[in-house]
Amino acid sequence: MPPTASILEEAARIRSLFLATGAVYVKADVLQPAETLLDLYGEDIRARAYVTHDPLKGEMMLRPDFTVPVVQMHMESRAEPARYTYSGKVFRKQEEDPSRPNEYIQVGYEVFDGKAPVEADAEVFAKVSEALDGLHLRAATGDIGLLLAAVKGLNTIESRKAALLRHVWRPRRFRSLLERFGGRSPVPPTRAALLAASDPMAAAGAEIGLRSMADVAARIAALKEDAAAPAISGEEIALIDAILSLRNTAPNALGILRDIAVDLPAISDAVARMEQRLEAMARLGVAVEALEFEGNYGRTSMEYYDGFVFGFYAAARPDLPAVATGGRYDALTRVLGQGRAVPAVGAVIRPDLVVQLRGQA
Amino acid sequence: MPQFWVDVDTLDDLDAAAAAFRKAHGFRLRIATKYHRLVRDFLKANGVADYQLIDSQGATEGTVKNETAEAIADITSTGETLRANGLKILADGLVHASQATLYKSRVADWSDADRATMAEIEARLKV
Repeated sequence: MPPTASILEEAARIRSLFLATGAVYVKADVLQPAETLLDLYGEDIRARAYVTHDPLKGEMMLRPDFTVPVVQMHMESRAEPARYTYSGKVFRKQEEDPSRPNEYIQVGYEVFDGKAPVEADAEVFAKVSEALDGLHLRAATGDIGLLLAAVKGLNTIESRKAALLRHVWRPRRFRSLLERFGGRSPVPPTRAALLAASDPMAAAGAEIGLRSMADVAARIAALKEDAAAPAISGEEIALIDAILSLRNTAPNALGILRDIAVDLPAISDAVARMEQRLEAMARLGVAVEALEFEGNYGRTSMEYYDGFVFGFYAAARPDLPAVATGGRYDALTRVLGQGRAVPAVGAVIRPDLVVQLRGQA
Repeated sequence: MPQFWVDVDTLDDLDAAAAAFRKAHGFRLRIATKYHRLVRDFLKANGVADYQLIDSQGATEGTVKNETAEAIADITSTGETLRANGLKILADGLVHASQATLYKSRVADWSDADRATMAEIEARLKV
């Protein structure tokens, strides 16, 4: 359905708020190369984005978001600090709920500022909050950086940390890995037999395909290293669980995290950042005393947020998706910048939902 | 997947092997299939990452030998064709179980010849 005049007006209103901060208005092509998005999100993105084919450029996708093209644009221009705003349609397949639109407008705001990242986090949150003023939305916040720091600080071998970090955004797989590394789930019998065999390759069969004998041998060596390493302690797993199950107001959550940091000093820097962020948010007029904080928030969304994360929801309309979402995505800039990273934080608002909620108010 | 992948027996192994493969070879582990949505939903639900689906509409079990895929997701009844191609099945990788079903019409006009054919089918199916 084409956007109504009121949705376009709302998009322009939000965009003008972002332009007032000195943001540059940018545009992006509707058709984006599929390869970049597939390498970033994996095959899962095919379930959400429309794929089409170009005879010269190969597989293309109807943009599922603006973040990737805006980051690419920024990495080429290299200006910093930089603020961008954009608005336009994004396209998403809906595999479960036919009542959800598969094309809708997003208005976005992205800040690239490596000098003052905490202030940038606060600024993006405050700007989005200002744009949604009067709608009485519930704001949820979290910080993936805490979990990443906690995993990096575990007293265990690097390969386990890498496996856990890879699955931070897949909670089920993360949990099962943690159970196994903690020695809480049994070793599969075939793995035990493989590790006990004097020559595991004895009855292996012919080498076919590109995954080579050397790849198999390397994984067996990794499995042996893993089997020889002591289990991650129950205390450390309990600390990770304490972070994940955290659900409190931001100031209370900060107090609890400070206590956790006594036993898990690896998260100290992330906790300090959270404190500075809350101070910066308070300076911008955000009511941080009542702000919700969830340790688990942002883990099931797109796989690129790696720091502060937030969303705004209509409490009276649980059937509606988030009216706005945002967060920090430093790692994404490293992937797209071929090694060069720029700290970045951004958010998108859905003007169609704003109009819908205003109509009910 | 190939039989010589002695380190891969579960989805957990496949996921770890895919991660290592991508790091070593620079691209996502290729799985050939014609059941894209079923396989993708299954692997997503089981938290497998760093793979890509390659479309194969026939002779899928040959794709590994031909080096157009590293593993396959396909239908099999006895696994004989898979074994003959040097492949094996994941212990917990059953995406979907299905069986052929024969329905008999209760309203059709059954002639004696039809009934004889039906009896023959029943005898052969041992039902």
